[in-house]
Amino acid sequence: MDTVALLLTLRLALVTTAILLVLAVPLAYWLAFTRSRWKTLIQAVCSLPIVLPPTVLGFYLLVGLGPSTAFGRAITHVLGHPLAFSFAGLVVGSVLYSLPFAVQPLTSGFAAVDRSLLDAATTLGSGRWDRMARVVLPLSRGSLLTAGVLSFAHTVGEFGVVLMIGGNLPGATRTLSIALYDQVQDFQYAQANRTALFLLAICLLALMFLYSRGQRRDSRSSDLA
Amino acid sequence: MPDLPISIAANAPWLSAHIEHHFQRDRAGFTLHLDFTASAQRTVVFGPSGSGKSSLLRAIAGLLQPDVASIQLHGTVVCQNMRGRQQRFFLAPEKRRVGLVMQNPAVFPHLTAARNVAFALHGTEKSAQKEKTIRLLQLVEADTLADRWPRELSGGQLQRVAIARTLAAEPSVLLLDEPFAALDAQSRQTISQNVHAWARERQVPVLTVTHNLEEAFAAGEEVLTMEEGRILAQGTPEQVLFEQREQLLQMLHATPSPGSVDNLRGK
Amino acid sequence: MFSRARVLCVLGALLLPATLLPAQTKALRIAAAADLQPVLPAFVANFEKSSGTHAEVSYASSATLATQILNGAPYDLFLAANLAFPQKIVDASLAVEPSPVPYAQGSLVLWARRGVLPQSLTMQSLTDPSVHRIAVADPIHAPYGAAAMAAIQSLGLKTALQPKLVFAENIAQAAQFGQSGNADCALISKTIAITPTMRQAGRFVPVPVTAYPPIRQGAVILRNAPDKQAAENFLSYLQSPAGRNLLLSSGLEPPTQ
Repeated sequence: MDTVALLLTLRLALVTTAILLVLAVPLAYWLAFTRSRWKTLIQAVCSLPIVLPPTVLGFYLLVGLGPSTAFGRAITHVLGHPLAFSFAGLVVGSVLYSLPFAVQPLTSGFAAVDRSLLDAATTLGSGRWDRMARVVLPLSRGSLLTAGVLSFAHTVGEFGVVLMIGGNLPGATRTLSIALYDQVQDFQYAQANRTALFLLAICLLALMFLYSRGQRRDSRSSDLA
Repeated sequence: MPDLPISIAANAPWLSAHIEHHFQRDRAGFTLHLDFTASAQRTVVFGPSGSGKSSLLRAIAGLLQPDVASIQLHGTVVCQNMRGRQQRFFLAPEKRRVGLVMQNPAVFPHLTAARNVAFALHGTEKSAQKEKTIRLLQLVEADTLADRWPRELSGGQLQRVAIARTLAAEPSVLLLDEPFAALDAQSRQTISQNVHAWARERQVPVLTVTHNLEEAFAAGEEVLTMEEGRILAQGTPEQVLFEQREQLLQMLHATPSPGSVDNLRGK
Repeated sequence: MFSRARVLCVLGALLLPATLLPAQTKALRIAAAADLQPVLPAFVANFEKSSGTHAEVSYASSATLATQILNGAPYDLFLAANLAFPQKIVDASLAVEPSPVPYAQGSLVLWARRGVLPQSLTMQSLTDPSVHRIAVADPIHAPYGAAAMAAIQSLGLKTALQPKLVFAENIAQAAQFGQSGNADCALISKTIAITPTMRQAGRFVPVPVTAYPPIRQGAVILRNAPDKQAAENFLSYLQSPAGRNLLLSSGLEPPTQ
């Protein structure tokens, strides 16, 4: 298998997951507890990548954040190169593309935390962010893990955005899914099969890990009942 | 410590509250409409369940933001939201220093009993934290439970932890919502005494909510009776008992409370 | 969240028209290499007018189309950008002809976005530090990509240009990378470079024809085509004098034997 592409894919997935958790925790916290009228809009926007074709994202990243717009030129100036055809560009694309897979488990995890525990913490002098750090997050460890694993697996499985903004550069933007595409185009079916099986295994293991945890929790809670 | 009679009129009120709030509970809804002051060291609010007692405590603690309100604690405005007035003010609940022990002890399941008690001591010196935690757990007769996890504790034990945790935050006002309900009679008396002694020592006024008539009239220096979101009467236990006898008897029929007027009369 | 009945209703609503409507009017289905994207619409319009047969074209890189056809994609005619991909179809016994039919010869051009390399635009000038990114079609997928790489190699520019290259799935995407400003220059087909959009966004010069092997574009009619006659008619039209003139004006030379 293409080791360079494998390492790149893992690096991309790890960096994306790390950034996503940092971004998604406060966002999900806000979504879980706000009564703002903007909630519905923000919630819908955060879930868009689930239903939107990756090509829409690819298009805006390429054209909207490309050197033909002022914003794109600012990015180019800061990075020294356009977002397209760079690892940074893939990270931006992946973070946007996998956002719902981090935000949704966290939001439902946070919302499931017993309100009376939050009330108790509040009357003990604990402010909004202190409550998040010392009550909500420790009680949502399962959701954090789910969000992390799903973001990771979804980034590994990303194709459309990478195809549109990647430029197929080995070591920078040629991920496993793109390598697989090339192998198929090049009629190297044996190699393609190895890559495909590997991707299949990663994603299957990730999902099995999540479901097995869910089952353990279910059986534990029924023991208690 | 023997209970010393303290003259109500001699003290400035520590709580002055005007609260109006409408709950859209079902078709009928429910309206809380209160206007009172409290100045006694120990005040008891008595009323059947559903009369709005818990909502009153939540409003004072800041967990409930009433439609219309003006609340002062120790002479400081913590909530100002009166009709037609321009200036609105709402002090965040975490800044009010109101200790609230709820019916539901809400002990943090991810922390041991001791670390629950130490929750409000976060950031202070470790050995002082430890020392204070032990002292407070002793006060609620739960020092043997220090390293236990909440899932291993009974309802009564959880309530003890919740009380100790609230005291650790050094509140300037203590609100107790049926805090001893899950305790057996013996512990109830000792722990109640310990908590009130703790409060008196620090001149922290205590507002207790109960639907137990016996408890209400035995413990309070000042009693408020509530029904359907309104205050029926306020005064010393003797005054209220005398003035409201009929209504109290009626209320008793509607409440599955173990207390009874006859018991009280015998005392 | 969704009741089963509701899902069935939606599925039914989606499927019904397909089953109720009469089978779609017969159409000629063409799989065409991406360099033909600006070329074929005129042909298709003329062909439809004269023959009355509707034609539908799918554009992608030649490799993508070959893979699709080898795996059973229902096309009638395959217009590739080289002879090797249609040869694969022949080898798999999926073609009518014994060998691919050359229908045109393409030219590779060097396109630069407006303002890039204002002094002189040559292959050698691509080494200039002001050129950061050069878009090229993927040499595995696209014959024009292979030609571009061959030109870079034969002109001795490989080491100098390698770090600047970005690879697009096909020639149209390579042009798009340039047009959107994400790449400064692009090695693309003349057919795409002479379109108004690309002319407006920049300018181009031909890559010396000696630098790369000729891009001979070949076609095959597929064995499973329901209407082989229509496919043959279209291919003959491409090779007719009128067709050759139209190809020439679109940037494609007649094939050399």
